[in-house]
Amino acid sequence: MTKSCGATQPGADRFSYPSRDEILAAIREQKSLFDFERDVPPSLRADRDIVLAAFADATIEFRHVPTTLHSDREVMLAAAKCGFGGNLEALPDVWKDDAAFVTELMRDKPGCFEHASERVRSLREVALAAVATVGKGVVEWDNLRHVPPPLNRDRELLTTALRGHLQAYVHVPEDLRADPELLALAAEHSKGNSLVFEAMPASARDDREIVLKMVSRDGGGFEHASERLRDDKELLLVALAGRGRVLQYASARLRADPEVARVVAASKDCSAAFAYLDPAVRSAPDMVAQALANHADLKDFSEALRDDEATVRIAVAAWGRNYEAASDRLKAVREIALLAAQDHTRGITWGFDLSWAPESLRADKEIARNAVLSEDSNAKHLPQVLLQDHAFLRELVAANDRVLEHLPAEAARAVALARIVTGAHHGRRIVAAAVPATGSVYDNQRKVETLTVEDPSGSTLRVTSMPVLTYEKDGPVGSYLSVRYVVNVVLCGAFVFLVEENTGDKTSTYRWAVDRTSEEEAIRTHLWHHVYLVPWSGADGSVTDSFDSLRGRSLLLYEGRTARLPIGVSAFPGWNGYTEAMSLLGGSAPRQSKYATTGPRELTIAAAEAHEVGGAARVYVQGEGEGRSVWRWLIPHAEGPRAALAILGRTTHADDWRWLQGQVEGATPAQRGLLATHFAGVGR
Amino acid sequence: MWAVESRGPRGLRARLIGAGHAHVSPWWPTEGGFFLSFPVSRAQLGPEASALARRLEALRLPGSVFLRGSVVESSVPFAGSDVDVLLLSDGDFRSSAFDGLSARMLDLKPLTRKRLRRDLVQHALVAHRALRVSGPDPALEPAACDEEFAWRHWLAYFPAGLPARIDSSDRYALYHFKCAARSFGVLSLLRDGRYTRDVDACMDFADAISPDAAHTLRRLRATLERGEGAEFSLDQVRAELLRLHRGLT
Repeated sequence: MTKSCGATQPGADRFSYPSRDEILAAIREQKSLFDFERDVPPSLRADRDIVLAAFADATIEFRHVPTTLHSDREVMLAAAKCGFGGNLEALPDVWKDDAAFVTELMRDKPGCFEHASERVRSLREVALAAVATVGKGVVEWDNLRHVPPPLNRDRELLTTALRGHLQAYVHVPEDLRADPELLALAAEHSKGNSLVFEAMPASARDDREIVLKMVSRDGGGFEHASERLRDDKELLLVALAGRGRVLQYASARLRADPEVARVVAASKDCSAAFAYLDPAVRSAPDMVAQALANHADLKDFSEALRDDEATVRIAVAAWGRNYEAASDRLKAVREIALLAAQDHTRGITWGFDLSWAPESLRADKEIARNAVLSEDSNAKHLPQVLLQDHAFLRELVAANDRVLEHLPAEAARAVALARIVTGAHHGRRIVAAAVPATGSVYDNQRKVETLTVEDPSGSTLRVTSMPVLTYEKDGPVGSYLSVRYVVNVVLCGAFVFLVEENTGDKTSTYRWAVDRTSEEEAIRTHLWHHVYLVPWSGADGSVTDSFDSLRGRSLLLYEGRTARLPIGVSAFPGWNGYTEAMSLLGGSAPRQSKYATTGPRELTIAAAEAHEVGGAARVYVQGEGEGRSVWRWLIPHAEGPRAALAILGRTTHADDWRWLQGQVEGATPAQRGLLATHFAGVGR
Repeated sequence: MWAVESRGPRGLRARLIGAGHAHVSPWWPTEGGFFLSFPVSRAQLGPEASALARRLEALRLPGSVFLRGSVVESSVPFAGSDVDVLLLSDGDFRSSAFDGLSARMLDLKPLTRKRLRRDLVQHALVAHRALRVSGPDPALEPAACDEEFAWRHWLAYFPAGLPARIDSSDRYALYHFKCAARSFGVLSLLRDGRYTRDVDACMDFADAISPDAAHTLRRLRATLERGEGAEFSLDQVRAELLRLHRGLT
């Protein structure tokens, strides 16, 4: 509706209004995208056909319907049918008081009965139609509640409502709720409905036949039965068949009844009911074993039984968790602890907890192994002597690598470090060491334990606590959508770089930063890449440093929004390098991957083609003034990277070329192409 | 019997996850090995989405603007859902331009063509699961329904990176739940050639191939929707996802 949009804006007189036919065609075409208020010129807003078409297909609010149409029945019906429950509420009162109108509307919108006038809601035919519509559509309209007295006492109306809506009984006037016919209908149609049962008069809740019907579905409502009937064994047994927890509402007599106790003990819902039995019947010799087999909790048995070896053996054999309730004397029995620890053979988790066992038994390998296989979190309770037994830990990890989550970091590293190894580049390679299957994000980062550059001289640069993925603080941390940096150590020529590659994503943190500060500041803070030259060469010997410390003493080469990054060899190239490596170590095996699995916990990745020639790395350096920020070649220097960078600052492209000329003969075709491209456009 | 330790209710919350009243199949349609374009037109939008589309159009933003998620996939977006707006533009924009656009929280995702070229997951969302409401048709290449697609999505949901345990009151719990659930959508693609990222459809598939994992995720979901705090063990879900993936690749 270009024309009409223009017509409603300043300067509209330059446009012609759309015609009536154009409006009608636009409604048919655009349907809900058509906005009556925006798209219909004032002169046509009272047009009956347009208003009707808008209610049928487009977006129109009732307040935009001109009053001249408020008396038009067809228009008002169309208006009242809008929305899920109808829109009778918005119409003039005259329509709310029109019985025929309301009745017709209720065929489509039964919920509109609520907004009819009291006079109309008091008309028997209308009210009957309203309660007869129950159960139709998505929502069951509980219209009985809106029928005013005295009509809400009409027998036909009430029985119709009770046959329909599950909870209609709660709106039956209180003095009629004891009516036998109504009660019978409610009991028949509202079985197990606690609200309905609670609304019944005390006499009904003391009526055995009604109570039997109410609890027969699943035991629900038993708590609302009279005190007398909560002492009725047959009723209780019916309810217990549905749900064990109803035992708590039974009389004290029944909770002490041996037959009830036997039923509970044999019930699959025994664990929910057993604790409500009277202590005197819980320990009956003929049912103890059965109750325990059905997962009754040993803590609900007498102290004597918890110190009875035969009983405790049965209990822990059913569920290792029962070990906790055994007497200290029996907890110290190795066979009992071992039996309890074997929940994994019973398909049970959340059972035996190794911390309940005395220290001497926690160091028992067979008990510890079973405990960890049953529940991997038991690994956190392994005593020091077992944590130092790496062969034992490897055995556990081989059986269930989730135990890594629960081992102290040192122990996990000792037994389960995986390696990601790059191909060699100028004799150097990168070895990243990580504990897979730990899956956790700390300080908004996913880290590897160490990342080591191995130099052919034998010396190493070891970076500890190396963050590979850094997430935005306010995004869904762990989501690929909120990765801010992918951090890599990059080998390029004779040099080592730290590269913080920015995803460039404008996450919500970025947006809020824009609102708080300037756009430029937000870009600098959130969208810049950072490239550092690491001041290390193989001749410097072996060095170990944390990532933060190493970055702090490295030389900033470049920071900016454009990705002017050195191209070289890294352990986690691309946005998915880390997730791909960890997924492979987790056992995924896609047909194609840049990583190859070369051992049970080892991946290798081929050395990528680096942008270097003869050890000189192509880097973007930033300098003061016009034309000082350019791509240059960092030429290897005998005194190391600092000296190389210092010389770069004093030389020109011509100097770069003079050095590189000597390397052309041994260069690959790709490197020659790189040189040609570089020097064809030096300075850009 | 996987453990959950309830810390008590904090009152009912609106339904948070999944789209009620969906008027489009959650399964991405394909033809000839490629995904088809989003099967919803502007004419099918509900009143709320229509109004939002009009307001976005009126902003006359540079580039192409897309709506996606429950606001366009459901005739009645579920309560509490945010509105996902994708902005495909090489220019910058200011988020203040969107102030007052919707009573719901707007989740703005600016994208560039360059980003789409290297990110198959985002590319697929824009090309196949988003409705353009303003700007030119970017004429994106259709994504192939193949192993590469499955692998890229597997890496995006990164089930190997799921935490072993999670507290449902943790602010990232919903994200981890969605990742775990949507990983089943990838498994469905690998097994049956049908892809979805709809949480309900993913959970239905999970029910069929891994009832235990599905049970744990459903309990986590229910706890999230009720706004309760409870600790869940996800390590078995993670192990199960990785095991199933191994079996399908």
